[in-house]
Amino acid sequence: MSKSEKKIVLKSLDNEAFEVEKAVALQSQTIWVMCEDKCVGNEIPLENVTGQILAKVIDYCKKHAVVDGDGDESSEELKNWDTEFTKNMDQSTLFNMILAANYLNIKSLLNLTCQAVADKTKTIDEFHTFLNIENNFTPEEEAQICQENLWAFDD
Amino acid sequence: MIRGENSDSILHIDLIIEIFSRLPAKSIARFRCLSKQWGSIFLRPFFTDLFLTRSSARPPRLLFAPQNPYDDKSSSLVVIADSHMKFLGDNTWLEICGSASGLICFRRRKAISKADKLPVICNPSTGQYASLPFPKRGIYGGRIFLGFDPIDKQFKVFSVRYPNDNYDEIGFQYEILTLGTGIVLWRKIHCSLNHFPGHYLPKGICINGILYYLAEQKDETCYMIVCFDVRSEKFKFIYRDFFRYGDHTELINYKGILGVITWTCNDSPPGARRSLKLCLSVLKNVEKPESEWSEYSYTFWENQFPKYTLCVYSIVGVTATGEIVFSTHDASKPFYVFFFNPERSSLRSVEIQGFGAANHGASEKRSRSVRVFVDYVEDLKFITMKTTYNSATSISPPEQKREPKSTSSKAHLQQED
Repeated sequence: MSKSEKKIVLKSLDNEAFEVEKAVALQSQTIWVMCEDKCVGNEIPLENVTGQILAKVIDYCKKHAVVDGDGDESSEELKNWDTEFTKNMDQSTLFNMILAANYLNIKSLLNLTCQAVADKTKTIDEFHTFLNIENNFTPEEEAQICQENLWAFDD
Repeated sequence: MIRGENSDSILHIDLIIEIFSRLPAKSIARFRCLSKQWGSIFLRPFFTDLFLTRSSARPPRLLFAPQNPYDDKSSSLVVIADSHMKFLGDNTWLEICGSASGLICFRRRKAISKADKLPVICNPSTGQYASLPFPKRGIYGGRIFLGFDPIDKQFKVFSVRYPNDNYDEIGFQYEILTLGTGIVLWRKIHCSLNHFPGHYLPKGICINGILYYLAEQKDETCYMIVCFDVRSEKFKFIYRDFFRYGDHTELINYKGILGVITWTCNDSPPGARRSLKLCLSVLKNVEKPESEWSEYSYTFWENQFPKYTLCVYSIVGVTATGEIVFSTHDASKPFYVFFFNPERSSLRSVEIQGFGAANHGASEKRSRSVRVFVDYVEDLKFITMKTTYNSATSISPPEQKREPKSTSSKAHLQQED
């Protein structure tokens, strides 16, 4: 296999091109299927992901392509790296990462980002806002449910 | 629709459910008032099953249940680190019977002097509990175990009782109570072999739908292992000559297979270096319980457990990764848990803090025993079971008085509606 065949170009929604090792990109099941089916050339257009998000996804895949399969110590290191990776992401970036991980079908990244949102979102109001969920309970109904779950409101 | 009318939430409902399934059980209970639709989604079996899958995939957790056997004012169950529930009632005394798939079964009595011990099921993740009725008449003595059938996803409480203290051949009674069916009734089941699990025998363990416990027969010197199939309610028996009176024994889940650990602490002759000898036997073939066991033995020396004398440690179980867990039992002193990895012969210790704060009402000078459960998983099941229990009249804890303190209400099962 020549050097160029080992590389693959990923093109984002806003036409940003990223050249990456094939092994890195193939962690995405979606890209893997595209390559298997030979329906794309060496350049893969990813119409749902912006360059800003794709850069982060590639960072994640690079890290996981290198360390996967090693012993216990590196899995510990990888876990710490994952924690740092999502630590400073704001809610909107995290949501876009979830969408990208879902679209590209990278299970471990989807797991990581969903867990990060779950860990960061603490209050009901935050969920109402972030997920744009409307509270359609009457005040009486809401009081009733809170009463039923009183134990959960006591920290 | 799940989203609001002017929704600009970019996540599809499937992805939102992915996020919710990764929340702690306590948050789910709190978020039931997000909206009507979400409130009902959290109660549906597809969600509770997904939640259990996620919870089981997280790193293993230990559950600690400190008790105050001599304190009449309060008893509590505690999940250290991220949450705790308190079980607070009038003159409660707790005796923990066992755990299965996130639920714990214990018995409580009004006072230590009273013989009546009411069975109670609780979910420490959600803080809910439900008192069950007594098994039928003649509550002279007996044991209670909790089993979980993973196929029908059903919890069953199993009770063995004897009507008098001379272990009468015809006296033993075996009864079952299925949880979550709406009918809170004990029903008698037949067992071809008269056996009795004495109070001094270790707690039972439920692995893949089989409840295992040790029992004895009249005029026999060795114990046997009873294998009770929670789904079909049929018994099998395993005889083993190494269960003799006097050994410390614990039934364990060794990577999904039944194992037995026996240990003896050797401190004779006086003044000699103490040692703890541990034997681990693992059933080779679950389908053929009469088949052979794999046996391993290990010896530990006093300097390996530096904090206390060796004999205060006992085995509490084995983690999913195969580490044998030792712990101390007295929560009034610094509390240590040791993990022994038999494959690497490595031993590590963890100090557990927070028991004092969890039980401020109790006198710290008194000895307080702690029960430790290994590989505890958070499960939402009890939230859904609650609805069923509301229709049953027999579950209201009769001697429980509501206290004005806020702590007394949070663990309450709702009975008003």
